[in-house]
Amino acid sequence: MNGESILFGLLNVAFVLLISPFFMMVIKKVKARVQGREGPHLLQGYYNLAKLFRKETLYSEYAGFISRIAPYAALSILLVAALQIPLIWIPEQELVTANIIVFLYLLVAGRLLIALLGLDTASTFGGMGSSREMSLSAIIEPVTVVVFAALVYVMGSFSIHGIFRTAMTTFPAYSPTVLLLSVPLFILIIVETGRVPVDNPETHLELTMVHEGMLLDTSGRNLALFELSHAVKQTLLMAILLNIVVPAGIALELSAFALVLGGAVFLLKGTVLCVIIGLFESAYAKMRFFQIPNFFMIAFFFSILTIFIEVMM
Amino acid sequence: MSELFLFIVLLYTLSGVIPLCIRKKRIWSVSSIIMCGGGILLTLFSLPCLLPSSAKTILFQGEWVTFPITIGIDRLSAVFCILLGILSLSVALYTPGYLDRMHGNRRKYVVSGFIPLFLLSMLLVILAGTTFAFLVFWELMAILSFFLVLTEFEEEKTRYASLFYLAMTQLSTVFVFLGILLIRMVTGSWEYPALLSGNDPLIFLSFLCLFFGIAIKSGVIPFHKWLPHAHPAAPSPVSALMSGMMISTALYALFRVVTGFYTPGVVYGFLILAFGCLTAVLGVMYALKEQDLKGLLAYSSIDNTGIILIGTGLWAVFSAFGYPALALMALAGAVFHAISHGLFKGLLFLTAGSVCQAAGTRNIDEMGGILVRMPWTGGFFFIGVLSIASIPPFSGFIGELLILQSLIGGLSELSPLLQIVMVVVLSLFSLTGALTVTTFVKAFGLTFLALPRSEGAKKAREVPWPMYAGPAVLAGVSAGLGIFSGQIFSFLGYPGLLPDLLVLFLLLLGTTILVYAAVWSYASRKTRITRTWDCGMMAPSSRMEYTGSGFTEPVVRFFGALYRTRIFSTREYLDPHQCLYKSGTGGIRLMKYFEECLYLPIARRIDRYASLVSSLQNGDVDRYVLYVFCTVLVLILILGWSA
Repeated sequence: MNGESILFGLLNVAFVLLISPFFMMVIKKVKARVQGREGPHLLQGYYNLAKLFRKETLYSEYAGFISRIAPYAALSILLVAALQIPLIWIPEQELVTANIIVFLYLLVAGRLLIALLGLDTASTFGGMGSSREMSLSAIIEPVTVVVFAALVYVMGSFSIHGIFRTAMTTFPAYSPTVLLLSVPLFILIIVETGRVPVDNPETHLELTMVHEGMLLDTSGRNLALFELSHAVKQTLLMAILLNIVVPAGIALELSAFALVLGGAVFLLKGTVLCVIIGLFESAYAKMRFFQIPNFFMIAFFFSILTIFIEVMM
Repeated sequence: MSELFLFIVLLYTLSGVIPLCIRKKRIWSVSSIIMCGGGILLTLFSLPCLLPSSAKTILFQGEWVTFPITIGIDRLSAVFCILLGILSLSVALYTPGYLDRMHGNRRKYVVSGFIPLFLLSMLLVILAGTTFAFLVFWELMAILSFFLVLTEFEEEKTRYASLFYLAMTQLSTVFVFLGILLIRMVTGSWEYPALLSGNDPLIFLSFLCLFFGIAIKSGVIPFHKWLPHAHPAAPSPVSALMSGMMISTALYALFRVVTGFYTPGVVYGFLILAFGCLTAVLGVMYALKEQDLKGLLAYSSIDNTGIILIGTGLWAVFSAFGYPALALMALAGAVFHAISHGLFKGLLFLTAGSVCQAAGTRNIDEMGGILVRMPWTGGFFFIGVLSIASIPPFSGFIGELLILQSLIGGLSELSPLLQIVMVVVLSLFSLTGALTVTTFVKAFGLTFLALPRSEGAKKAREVPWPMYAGPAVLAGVSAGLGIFSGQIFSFLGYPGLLPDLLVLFLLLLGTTILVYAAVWSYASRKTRITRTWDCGMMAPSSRMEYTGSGFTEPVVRFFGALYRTRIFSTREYLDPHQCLYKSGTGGIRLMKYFEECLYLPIARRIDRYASLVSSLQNGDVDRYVLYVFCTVLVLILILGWSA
């Protein structure tokens, strides 16, 4: 752990925390516009968080230590995961923990905590949400691992730092490998952040909700922490897709200008992707729960296809 | 060295014999103290043998030349000895409290006496230095565990389980016996062979026999059917040992056989890999839908066996194709996972045993709300859950990480055909991992969280401290093993296999504290305890909660083809046009595939064959005289012919 790594960690985490609520709002805004509504202000995400942090927190009388720990743990797990994914600057020296499998299992840890939180309050909605979340995750997990295995195989590195570096130096965005990989990575964003057609982030209707169901009984600062960690997770997954398909703009050496440029370029790339996600969400209806595996299979076959194409070449 | 070892054996024997001979009240606490000593000494004794510089040490040499019995320790057996030592310690702490609350009187002495002897028999299997000694101790282990399973013999289910177990475990011994005889035919000695190779079909046959023998013992599908019956039927400390240690002992035998006896071959590798994938995926699928808490843990042992088999199979495949680095990584993952599985499965079985005893049921659907009532037990169970769900940086994660790394590494290195195999194994492996998480969210969430769903669960109370001190030891070791895994591997002489999880742990801890501090200092601190949101109606009762069956229903439906679920319904109507509904029945049946399609047909065939044989034996003296006469006649004819 040298100074550069620490600086990288602080910068990356701060940047992720700063821009994540903005991206959430961009998607909301796009969806609202498509539906003919005005939509929230682009900074509304920050106002919401500030409001929630100021509010009183309620705990269920049935709840145990899971409800107390989970909000903090969920955010800190994602912040540690954020160290693995450089957004604007790839330092020379890799972190000792940089490993794509560690990243994946950190996501699993977050999911486990939230699923237990859903069961903790003895609410039927929580149980429903957590049952659905775990069932879906049982199917998406092999897909995720194969997608990332394809990534490792194509890019030849176990750390995401190395993967981005290779993407930047060797693979042009129009190469078939990158195009093929972008499809499953996009589907992963949709699934992992609970968006239409898998889950609907706006609804609180028991027929459709998955993620919201588990969080139904959280409030105040705990809800703020969960919303923030959800936004961070979305930004991290978006960063994986963005920095592989359009790696331009990432700083390779440390200088104030390169960092500012990298930040600005990432903000631009992220906003464009958010608009695409918003349009994608608006174009689809929520899928029936038991048909969702078919959607995952698309991602699975695309990543297998990537591997096979690489084998052929 | 040798004296110390004999002293340890003496301690184990003593703590086994004392409760069998002396019928004094709570004599088992004396025996437990001796066993604690034995466990600690064994761990300390084996630690130096782990060092990369240590060679095989002979601890005991039998005098009998025809059937030599040698006992020795090397690095592989030292690893498992340490596991056995730690498990002995924690089971010794746990057992007295469990026995105090168990019903029945005489059986308590038997249980507390047989547990140390059972442990001793496993220790001797691990340390056996000749195939003959291995066979003897293997059979000893089987018989002792059979009696332990039979403890609660009044229950019909237990009798069925133990008979099933006896049949299967004897089958396992038969296979091991055959394998050992075949090796003896090839090498001409009872010593462990070294890297047999060649085209002799006997060599492959001996491997098959040994593999099947070990597979039956470690619950490899399709030889697993006894395991989910026998492990839960035994008292909890015994279940912990059977799942934590006996499976590990069988896996030790697998590592010994696969890595030591034979030159790694592609066929061996693929055979193990195929069984491993089948076992891992089906094991966790069955675990997922299980409603019996201890049964769920037993099935999950099967799935972990599968994961270890995958690692071992990958070792053989990579070695055969000449990738020693990947092979080492896979094998390190498999051995590490065997050890950590022993630890966390022991932990889970012990804590689950406390819960089942306190709640008076093993059915997950009748539990709930245990965490508030038994906070310590629940907390340690949670650590076990984090380990088994392979959450970094707990110990269960390390094995999976190493095996995944070697799989993905193999994907990049091997030839196209093998790459396809790697992709298939990779997806099955990660499916297993994900389903394990789901299974244990169910096991923890529905047992420990929310509201109690039965009177028994409502009345559950925390156990006395030694009963969670035992699990606490395992929880501590399990977490420590994961956090310091990088250091442990460098200490053992394999640096650089995996990222440093100590740093990850410190980062996680530091970030959590920082987040907490930030929220505490800047956000509102107002907190209120209130009722769960009830849609404006009445307080939610436990009847409104999700049950275990409901929780896993979506997965059962996704994988309906594998579970072979049949939904059936019958309806009766009042009128001939079938409009006015009168009554009906409906249900969901999960087919017990292996029992109905594999075990029962074989059993029926054996039965038929046996009835044919038994008609020859009708007890009629005249008929026996006839048999003797015929035999003599045939003998005379044959001898006359050959002369």
